[in-house]
Amino acid sequence: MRRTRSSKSAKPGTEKSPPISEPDNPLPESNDKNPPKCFILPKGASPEARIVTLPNPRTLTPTRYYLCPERGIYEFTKITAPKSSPRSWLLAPQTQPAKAVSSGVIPSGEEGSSAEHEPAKAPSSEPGSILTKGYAIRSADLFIATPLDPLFLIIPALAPVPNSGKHPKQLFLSSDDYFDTLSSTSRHYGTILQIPRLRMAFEARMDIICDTVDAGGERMYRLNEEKLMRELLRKANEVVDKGLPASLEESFVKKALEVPVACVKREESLAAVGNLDPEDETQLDVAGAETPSTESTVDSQTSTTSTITTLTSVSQLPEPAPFSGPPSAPALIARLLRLRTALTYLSTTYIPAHLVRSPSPSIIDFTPLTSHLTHLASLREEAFASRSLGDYSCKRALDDDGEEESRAEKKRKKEEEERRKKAGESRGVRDLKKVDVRGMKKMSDFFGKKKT
Amino acid sequence: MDLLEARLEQALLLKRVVEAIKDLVQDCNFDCNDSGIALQAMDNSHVALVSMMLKAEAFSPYRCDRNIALGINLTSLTKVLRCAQNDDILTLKAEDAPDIVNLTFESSESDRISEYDIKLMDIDQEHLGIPETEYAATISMPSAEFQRICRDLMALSESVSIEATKEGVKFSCIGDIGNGSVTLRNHANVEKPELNMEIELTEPVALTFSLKYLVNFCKATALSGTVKLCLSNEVPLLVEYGLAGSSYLRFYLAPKDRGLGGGDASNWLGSSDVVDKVRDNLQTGLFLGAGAETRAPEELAIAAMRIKVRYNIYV
Repeated sequence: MRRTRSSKSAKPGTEKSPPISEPDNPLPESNDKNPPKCFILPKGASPEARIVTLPNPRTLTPTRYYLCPERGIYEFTKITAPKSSPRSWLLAPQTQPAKAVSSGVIPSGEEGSSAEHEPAKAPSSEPGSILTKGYAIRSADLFIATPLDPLFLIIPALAPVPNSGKHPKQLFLSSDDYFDTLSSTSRHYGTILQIPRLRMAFEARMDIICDTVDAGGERMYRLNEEKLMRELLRKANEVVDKGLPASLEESFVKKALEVPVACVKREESLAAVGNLDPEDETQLDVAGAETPSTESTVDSQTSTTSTITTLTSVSQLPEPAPFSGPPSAPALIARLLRLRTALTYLSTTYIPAHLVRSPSPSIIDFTPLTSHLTHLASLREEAFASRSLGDYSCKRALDDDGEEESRAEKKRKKEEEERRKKAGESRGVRDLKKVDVRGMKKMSDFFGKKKT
Repeated sequence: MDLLEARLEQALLLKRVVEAIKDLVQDCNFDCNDSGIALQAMDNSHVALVSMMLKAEAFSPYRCDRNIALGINLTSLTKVLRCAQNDDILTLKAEDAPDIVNLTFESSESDRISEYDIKLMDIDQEHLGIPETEYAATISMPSAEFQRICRDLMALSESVSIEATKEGVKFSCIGDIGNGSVTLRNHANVEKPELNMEIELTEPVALTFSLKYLVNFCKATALSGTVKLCLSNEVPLLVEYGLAGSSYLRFYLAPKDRGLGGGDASNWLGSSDVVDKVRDNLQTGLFLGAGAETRAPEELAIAAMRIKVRYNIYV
C-alpha cells in the first residue's frame, strides 16, 4: 500500500493525486455521493460475513460492526489521517487484487496509467466497479476491523438503563429473554442471534459476568457487577501486559508520574525505591485482589443498588490531580496506573455509563497509586509554588536592588541639586515665583532674539 | 596675564547693582568687552528683564582684551561683595577661559587687602535684542517716590495701573479692602532738582503692571536719585536707573493684559494674592509687609466672601 500525498484532495472521487502529469486539466468534479471507504478486514472471514448495525453498548447509538458467523464480531476502528498533512487514498487496479494507494512520489507514468489501465481483477464483486478504473478517495481514513468481545454487546440487555433513578429489581432471566431485549434494540440482532454459533458465544460470555441458576433445565442469568469488574480487570491486565498504546502511555502514565524537576529530594527517594523488584509486588497485589472473588451474589447486588447512581469514577483517571501519600515503588505504581488507565479506557468505551464505577478495593487496590499521585501533585504544587516564588523573589530582588539604588541616587541628586539651587536662589527670586503672571507676555514676545 | 581687569573706585556701585538684580535673577552672565561690562537677564517667568551696562569709563582703569562672559551666581556674588566696605577699591580680574573670577577689595583707609575668588558657571542665556524705542510717555521722577508709591499700593493690591496724561501720572489700584491712587503732577523744584517730576508725553497711556515686580525693581533705588519710567501701549515698561557716566541699570516689565489680569480683574487677582500671602505667612511664620499682619485675616474673609458671591452669580 502506498500513500498518496495529494495536494488537491478537495474533491472526492475521480481525481488522481497531484496533477503533475497534466497540470492544465482542471480536476473533474466528483458526483459520487457515497465514495468508497478503505477497510482492513480479518483474514479468512466467511463469505457470510456482513457489516451490521448494532447499538453501541456504551452510547446505545447505532454503530456499524463487522459480523462473521464463524469468527465473531468485529468493531471498526477508524484511523484518520492527521489534519496537518492532507492525505487521500488512490485505489488503483493492480495485478494483485489489492487496494492500492499511489503517492505523489511515484513516477507520473505509473500514476497516469493507473487511471486508464486495463482493470485488473478487482476485489469487489460488483460489476463495473469504480475500482476497475482506479479511484481516489478524498479522505484517507482507514477502517480496521478489530475483534470485539460479545460480552460488551450483551451488557445493555443484562443491565438496562435504570429509569427515573429507581433501579428495577434484577431478575434471573433466560438467555432468550436477554436476546429478545437485544433484538428489540436492533433488527440486525434478530438475524445474528439466529446463528447458533454466535448465540453460544454470547451465552459463554454471559456465563462469565453473570450469576446463574438452573431452573427447569434452563439456565438463568443475572448480571454480577463484581464479576463484570473482574472480567474487565482481566482484560485490562492483558492490555497492560502487552503494553499500553504509546499515546495513552505518554499522556496518562508518563506525564502523571513525572516528578517535578525542582524537587531534588524527591528524585533521590524515587531512585532509591526504584531498585525494588516491582513485578513481584504487582503480582502479589493483583493476586491478593483475586482471592476474595467468591462473593455472595446478594452482597454484590446490594452494592449495585446502592452505588448505581454514582457515575463519577470515569473522570477519575485522566486528571493527575488526586495524588498523595508517601512515595512507593514507581514500577508498581506505574503498573497500577497503566492498569487503571486500561480499565478506565475499557469501561468508558464499552460499558454503559450507569455501570461504570471504580473497582472496589477487594478486587484491586489502587490506594498506593492514588496516594502516590496525591503526593506527586503536592510535590508539583510545591515545586510550582517555590519556583514561582523563587522567580518572583529573584526578579524582584534584582530589580529592587538596582531600582532602589538608582532611585535613591536620583533622589539624592535631585535633593542636592535643589539644595544647591536654593542656596543660589535669593529670597526675592523665590518670592517672584509666586507672583501671578497671568496676562503677562514674555519678554521674547516683545524683543527678538539677538545673535551673539 | 589677566584678560580682564576692571578697577572700581567704590565697591558700593557694584554692591548696589548686584543687590538690585539678585532678587530678580539667580544666575547671569557678565559680558565683558572693551566697552565695559554688560548684563542682560530675565526672571524665571520671563516677564521681566534686567539690563545693566557698566561702561568702561566707570572703571579706572578698565582693560578687557577679549570678549568674555563671566557666568556668576548672584547670591554668591552678593556674599562676596558683602565682604567689601562701601568705600573699598574693588578690582575685578579674570583670566582667559576662566574658571573663576577674582575680586580684590582694597581698603582706602588702611592697607587691608582682601581677595576672593568666585567659581564661574556656564550659563546658557539667550540675549534679546532690545531696540531703541520712542515711548509714548516718559516719566522722570525721584526714585524714592516711585519706591514709596509701589510699596504703598502693594498693600492694597497686586497690580497698579499707571495712567500718564498731560496733567500728570496717576498710579492707582483696586484692592479687596478698597482702592487707592497716587497722582503726581509735573513739578520743578529749583532748590531741590532731585525732586523734579517731568512727564514727556506724545499720547496718553494707561497700563497695568505687577506691583511685586515693580517693588523688586525699586531695590535699585539707592543707585540713583532719579528713575525714568517709559511707557507705550503694547510694549514693556522700562524702568531705568541712570548711573554715573552713561552706565545704566534698566528693568523691563511686561504689562498685564487688562482682559485677564489688568483693570477691574485685578480685584480678583488681588483676592487670590491675599490668599497666597496669608498662606505664605502661615508657612514661613513671617509676615512680609508691615500691614499684612493685621489685614490678612479680614482680607481673606473678604476674598472668600467675594468668591462666594461670584459663585452665586455664575454658577
